[in-house]
This record gives sequence, C-alpha cells and structure tokens, in this order.
Amino acid sequence: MLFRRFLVTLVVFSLVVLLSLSAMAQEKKPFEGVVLNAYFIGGGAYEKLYTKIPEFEEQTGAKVNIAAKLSHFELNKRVAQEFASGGDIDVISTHTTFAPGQKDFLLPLNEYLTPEDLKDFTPSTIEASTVDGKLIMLPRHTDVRIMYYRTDLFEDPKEQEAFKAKYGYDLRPPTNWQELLDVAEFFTRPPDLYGFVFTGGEEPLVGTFYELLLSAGGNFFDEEGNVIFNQEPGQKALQLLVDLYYNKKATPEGVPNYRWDEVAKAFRDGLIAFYFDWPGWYTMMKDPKESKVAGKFGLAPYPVGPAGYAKIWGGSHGFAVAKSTKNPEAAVALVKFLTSGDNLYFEAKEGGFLPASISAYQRLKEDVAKTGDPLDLKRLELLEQELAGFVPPPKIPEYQEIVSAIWPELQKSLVEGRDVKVTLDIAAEKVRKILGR
Amino acid sequence: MRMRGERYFPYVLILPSVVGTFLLIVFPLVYSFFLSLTSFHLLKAQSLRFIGFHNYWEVLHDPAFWVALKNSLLFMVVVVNVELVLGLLVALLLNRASGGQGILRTLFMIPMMFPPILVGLQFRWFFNDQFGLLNNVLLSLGIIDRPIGWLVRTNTAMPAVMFADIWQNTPFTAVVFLAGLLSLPIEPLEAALVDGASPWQRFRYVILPMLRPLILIAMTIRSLDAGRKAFDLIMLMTGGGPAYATEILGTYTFRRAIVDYQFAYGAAISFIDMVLTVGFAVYLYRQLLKGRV
Repeated sequence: MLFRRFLVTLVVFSLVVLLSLSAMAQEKKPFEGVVLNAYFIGGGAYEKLYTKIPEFEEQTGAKVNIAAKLSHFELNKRVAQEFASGGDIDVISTHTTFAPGQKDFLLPLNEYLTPEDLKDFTPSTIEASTVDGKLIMLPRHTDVRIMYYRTDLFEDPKEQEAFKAKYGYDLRPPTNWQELLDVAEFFTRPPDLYGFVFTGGEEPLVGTFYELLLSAGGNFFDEEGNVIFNQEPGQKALQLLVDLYYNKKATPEGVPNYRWDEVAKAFRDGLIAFYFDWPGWYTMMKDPKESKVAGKFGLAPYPVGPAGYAKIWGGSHGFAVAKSTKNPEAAVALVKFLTSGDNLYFEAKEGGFLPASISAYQRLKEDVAKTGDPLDLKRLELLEQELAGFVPPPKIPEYQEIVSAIWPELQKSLVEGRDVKVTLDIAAEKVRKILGR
Repeated sequence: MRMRGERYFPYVLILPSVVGTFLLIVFPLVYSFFLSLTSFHLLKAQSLRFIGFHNYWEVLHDPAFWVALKNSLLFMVVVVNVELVLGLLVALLLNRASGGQGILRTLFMIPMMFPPILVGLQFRWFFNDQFGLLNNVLLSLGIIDRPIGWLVRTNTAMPAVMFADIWQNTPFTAVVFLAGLLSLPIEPLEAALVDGASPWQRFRYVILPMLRPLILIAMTIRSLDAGRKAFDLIMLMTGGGPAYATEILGTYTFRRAIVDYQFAYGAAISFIDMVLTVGFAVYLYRQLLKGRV
C-alpha cells in the first residue's frame, strides 16, 4: 500500500518535473511552432550557408521551410509574384541592386535591430543596404571588382622593351585611363590575344558604364535627382568603351554579347591581357584544370579615372524580411543568424566570398596569412580597400527599368560608333521619361 | 414533339469545351486586356489603377516598339519566303529521288524536331566570334584574318538569326509540299508531256498552280508561327541586341513585362501584337478561300 502510494507520488512528481522542464524548454525556444517560408538564391557556393539552418531551428524552435532555391533572376520573378499575390513569404535572398526595387514589400529592419547588432558589418555594406533611411536587408557577402592581369605578359622583358619603345613609358598594369587604352592596344593580337575585355550587354554593360562614369567625376543623378549622366563625365566614360571596342578594336568582337561568364572564360582561356572582374572567379582562375592562366596572373587596383580616383561598382548579397510576414521577430532572428560573424566566416571560407562581417574578414585574412600564398593575401587586402568605398547602383526602384532602356542605346555607340553625346542625350531623355511617369 | 431533355442535350455536350475555352482563353484574354488599361507594376504596391488607354498611347509613341515591329515584319517576310522557296526545291528533289526516299525524308525532318532552344544554343556557338565553327573555318581558309562577331554587328545579327530559323523550319514547308506533290493527279502532267511541254513549263503551268492551296496553307501557318518560334532563338543568340537590331515584338514584350515587371505595359504591347496578327490571319485566310474558287 505504502509502496503504491510512493509509486503514485513518484509518477505525479516526475510528471510535474517533466511539464515544468518542457515549459522551461519552451521558454528557452522563443519561436516554437513558428514556420518561416524562405526564398533563397540557390546554386553551388551559395548553398553552403543553408547547412547551418538546422542550428537555428534547434536554438529557436522555429522551422525554416526553404520554398525555393533559384538563380537570382528567377528568384526575383518568383518573389515578385509572391509579393503581388500576398503569398506566405517571410525571408528572402536579395541584393543591393534589387532590394530598392522591392522596398515596398520589405520590412524595415532598423526597428528590430540595435546599433550593437550592426556593428560587425562593414559600414559601406550597411550603407548600400539602406534605402531612404530604412535598412531593408542585412548584407551577407559583397562583390567588388578588381583588376586581373597576365603576369607572364606584363613581366616579359621583350614585351616591356617593345612597349617602352612604342609608348615611351614602362609597361605595368594600367594606373589611369590613358595607360588602359595604350596597354589594351599594345596587347591586341587577334585572334589569339586581345588587350582587354568587358561586359558589353544588358545590366553588366550599364554597371561597367556606371563605374567609369563615377570615376570620371559624374553620376546618374545630381542631388536633386536631375539626370546628369549625359554630361561631360558620362561622355568620357562611354568614349573610353567606344575607343576600346570600336576604334581600337582592343577587345574580342563578341563583347556586346558577353556577360559575366563570357568575359571570365575569355580571360581563363588566355585570350585577354587584363580586365576587371568579380573576386569570386579567383578560385577557378587558379585551378589549372579550369584555367590556362593558372599561376600566370596577378591582381591590381583599378586605374584612376579623369576625376583622379577610381570608384568601383559593387553590391552585396543579403537577406531581407517580407513586410507581410506574420512572425517578424522570428524572421529577423533568422536573418541575423544567417549573417552572424561565425556563419559568414564559415561561408566565406567554404565558398571564397568576401564576407560583409568585419570579424569574419579578419579571421579570413589570418587564415590566408598562415597558408602563405602571397596572391591570396594580396587579394584580400586589395579587396578590403575597395570594400571600404564601393558604390552600389542608384537605390531607386526604377533602376532595372532604366537599365533596360539604356543598354541598347549604349550598344549603338559601341557597335556603330554613334557619337557618345547623341547616345547619352537619347538615353537621358528615356530615363527622364521613366522617372517622370 | 421533342422532349425537353433532347433540346438541351447538345448544350450539355458542348459545355465542357465552352468552359475550357472560357477558362483558358477568354478569361486570360479579358484579364490581360483589363491589365493593359491599368498602371500595374508587379513590384509597386497599389499600382493597380485604371488609366484608360494611356499605355497604348505610350506604346505607339515608343520608338523601341516601332523598331521591334519593323524587325518582326522583316523577319517574317524574309524567313517565310525563303523557307517556301527552299522547301519547294527540297520537295521537288525528294520527289525525284529514286531510292531511299523514306530515309531522306526522315533526315530532312530532323531540324524540325529540335526544340528552338536547342537550335538557338547551337547557332549561338556556330556564330560565336572566338570559338565559333564559322569563324574557325573562315580563318583557317584565310578568308578573314580576324574573327567576325556575327551576332554583334547590326548588319549581320539579323541575317544570322534568320539563318537559324530557316535551317529549322524549311523541313516543315518541304514536308507539306512533298505531301502535295505525291498526291497530285498524274493525268494533267501526262497531258502536258504529250503536248511537248518542257520541264520548266510543266512546273510553272501544271505543278505550281495545283500546289497553290498548299503553298498558301504553309505560308499561313509559318507566318503566324514565325514570330513566336523565333523568340527562343533570338533570346539565346542575341538577346534582342545589339542595340535593338534583333528585337522583335516577342522579345520586347518579354523585356518590358517580365524583366522590368511592367505587366500593364507588356499587356498593351501584346494586345497591339494580337490585333495585328489576327488582322493578318484574316487576310491570309481570305486568300486561301480565294484559291479554292
């Protein structure tokens, strides 16, 4: 009898303990039962970070349902449809180039984050992620372009001698636009070698033009929002591209059809003496199986423009929260988790990215210093300088529309040699119309 | 007296297809027409405002639209005519083939069976400036000393795209004409032979008039199809560039509606496109009926 009573007490007691434990556990897991629908950018290197999500689920009790993993163009279309149709969407991958266009549908994160939360991010990336004073995404990693050049060509004494004889100064990776033109012309020996290559179509063309426009001291708009890219700096910028492509024919002729993959492939195939590209190709270029220039290339800073400095176009991938989310706290927590210093370090190490986190960048540099490849370290140091001052595209929702409207006009100067002033005036008129609507 | 059920029975029978047509054709058509009268932009909240025919006015004052329309017409006229002539030649040759006609016919039809997206990829590489087959051949023969960017010159991009389309679709016209040739009555030809008509006269005055309905059918089908099928080819080969040189209505609509998220504007272009296409179809159809009389 006594034993039975003891048994009952024991059962009751353990039940109480269990219940309170689970209650405690519930207290510990703030988002138990919350399901977050995520729409992420997919593909090889991007997906490493998502392997960390189970840790978040473990810590918070929330469940993350990755509804889609797509290329950025496909993802943007899908996300736009979800936004427009009021779908269940909580967290998305986005980019400083696209986020301003999505801003009507994105939750301002300032209200959920403290300055303390943001202090590990590179200030320029936070700046690029802020539109009209609202932080609409948290940066993940950043792309800024850098100059790749062929050391076997630039360091060849015969080439150096021939260059000096022709141009009267020493051959080196170009440090200004005149040198850029000279060196590009010098190394152009079709069909086996061209001096330079650039992305000559669609958004990549507009981005390249934008970068040059800034380095010439101009911009798309002035402070009042007036269209000014057709003024003198814009003309100088476009003229440089026209000189390279149309007048000096110092690039492969297919350039108007070249976007990211094609320019990188042309360099890897040993067809190009120097060019500007994203840092992400670096690993592939070093791989002798993928690249004919493995071990034969170096990195250098951008040449300065007529304005006396080089502005570099860049952008950050990141994560944002949909305004329509039913669980803003949980969604913000997921975004914070994915962009934490530890996770960004993990991702950068695995995928060769440039993390938007200062501490992750520091750790990466320490790792590289230990491995002892001087080019690896130079790359990180050069990019660190560039990261401090990179420029994202104008943060206006109409940017994509503007891109679509002006790239065919820019091409008209490239492929037909149309006067740059005429081209830019037409393009500027189109842009005014888009903004005036 | 007819039973009530019998009276309604036919309507019940056609109901599924009426519902299907309504859901799949009429509703989207009406809805996209409605969209074309608004300022709807997929990424702008509260952009679904009625603005009447403003989009149409904009489209008609959009230089890029007129370039795309001109390119579409040029593309259609050139490829359809070349395909008709080449198809007729191929069909006449195949008709004369004494042996292996079946195998030849199958071989000739292969290009038609490829999805346009594959054809686009194939010709993107064929015409590529650095790695393309065409430049490679011309360079090694010493005809050119520097690769030519076929797809990026304003004067060669369109012919290159047309070439790809002609490669793919000539088999279609050839098959149609071959079927026609095989089913021609033999008596008129025999009569012509007896009267001493030359081969050219037999072709010009006997075969060609008898093939006329088939030519019109092939022309109608290809004309209406040309712009749509070319979309894949052009997107892959040139993306509509350089500088609008290969932009057709289909690619321009895609750019505005899907890339720029301007659904309303895209819908307006589509509607103008549709009105033109329907008008053209009616005209061709009338010609076809005339041919029967």
